[in-house]
Amino acid sequence: MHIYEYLFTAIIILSMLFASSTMITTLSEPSRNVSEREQLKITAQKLMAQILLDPGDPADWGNDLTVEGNLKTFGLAKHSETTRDAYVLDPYKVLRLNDALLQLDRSLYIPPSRLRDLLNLGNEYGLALEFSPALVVSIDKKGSDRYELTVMSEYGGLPIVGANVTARMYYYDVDSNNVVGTDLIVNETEYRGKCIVDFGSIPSEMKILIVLVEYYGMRLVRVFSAGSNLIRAHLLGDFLFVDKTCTISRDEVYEIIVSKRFGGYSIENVESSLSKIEDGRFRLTYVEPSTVATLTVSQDGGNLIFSSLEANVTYSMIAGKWSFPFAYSVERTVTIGGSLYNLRLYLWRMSW
Amino acid sequence: MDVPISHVVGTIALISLVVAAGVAYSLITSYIEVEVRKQQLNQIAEYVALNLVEIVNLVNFANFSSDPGTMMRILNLPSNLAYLIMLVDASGQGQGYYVYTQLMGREDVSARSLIPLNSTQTPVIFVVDSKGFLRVRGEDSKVIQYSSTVYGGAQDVVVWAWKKDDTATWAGIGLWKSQGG
Repeated sequence: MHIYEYLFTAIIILSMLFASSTMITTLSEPSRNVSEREQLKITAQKLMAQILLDPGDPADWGNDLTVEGNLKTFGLAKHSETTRDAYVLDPYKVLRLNDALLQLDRSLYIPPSRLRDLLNLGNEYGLALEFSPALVVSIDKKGSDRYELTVMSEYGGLPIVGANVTARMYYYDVDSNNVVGTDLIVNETEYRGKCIVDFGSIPSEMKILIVLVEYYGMRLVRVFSAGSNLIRAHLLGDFLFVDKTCTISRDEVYEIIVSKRFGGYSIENVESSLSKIEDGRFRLTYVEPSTVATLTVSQDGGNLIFSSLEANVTYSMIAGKWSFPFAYSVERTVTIGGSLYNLRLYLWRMSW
Repeated sequence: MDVPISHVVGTIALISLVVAAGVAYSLITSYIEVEVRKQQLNQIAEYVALNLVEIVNLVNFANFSSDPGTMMRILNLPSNLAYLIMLVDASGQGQGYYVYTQLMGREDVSARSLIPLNSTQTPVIFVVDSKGFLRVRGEDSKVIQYSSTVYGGAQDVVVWAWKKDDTATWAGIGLWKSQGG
């Protein structure tokens, strides 16, 4: 054998080693990826179980405004001393994840870093929670106070035919110096998922529209701004938070409640009172358990201040990040304040 | 018969290369095998942690005012692997509780899964440093032998939880076995 033949044989042996190693690594890669996805899935399910079934500690942390540092366990389940339902969440706990609270009082908001500690995630995982209504309800103004309501499914935007719609408008009446409600309007969506709710003409820009959509047991309450003189407030337990520049002089507050009655639903209001704790913070004497929104009038009488318990909240450990290409997502249908929502949990690894 | 020295050197070099290639190949395959085993152990740890979280929530969810007894769930774990399952309290190191799995005799082949409760101040107390037996209501022939470490072989591995009162829920891992067995 010549030296070239030895070299040639050595090259062949090395090539075989290289080729077989590459082949083994390449072949095992897909199953490794599947396995890693599977782990993410189980971790996501574990976190979902903790978040949805545990009320947290303290159990009423949603309306405990001093809790931020004392929160020991994180969970969004609604706490009750007697009976409990699965996947029923406390609206106040969900609203504590709304970053809009940062503009009012930083201590009200539960920052993602705190959640990471409470869920023992360390720097290993990233997490995002997305609450979205189970039905997509939108309004389109067709006249002075005539609205076309559209009810669509969340997936694919298919029209929901035959959904029962109950609506009532609340507005500030200057003559009586009171917040008053219109007559209740009940309608049903037609084949395009649309229906009309007509309140005639209300000569006020301080008005909101409360809509309840019910479709084979799925219920959703939406609060729409119908005028221009409106200020959004935030209700957390017995406390009403509003921008510090806004003042409320009147001590009455109107709580909008939704109740089931024979053959449908009713949207009613009960009157309660509130007192000022400090600038931008007011305490209600009593909050009805089925309250879906509150209304009160600003000191100058020029704005209607409203809050709603709608939970359109997105909460992520990555600020402003809306695409999670390597995330695993788990979805559950939950009830928040009597309305049905889909909760998606996105989980991804920070490092591999 | 005279053999040139270059042939001797070349043959020895080739044989060495073949041996080295074989060793390198087995090193690569064993590395991949370890990675696969780690993935398996990771899945097992995640599965145990998931069931532990679910059983704790289930017991707490019951909201009983009187003692509801111990609840348990038998885990469906692979039996073709020799491994240990441990419940570890690392709250002293700021890591909370986690489930740790390890291949028998191979400390380097291990995995862990967090339990999303990062405090020993919570009402949930995981049994990480004691052993004992627990009875389950309605079952006289078998008991739960709880321990912070169990062998994840062919035996029935269980997760269990017991709500002592409103302020304390005990939970852990163990084996579901016949009394005296």
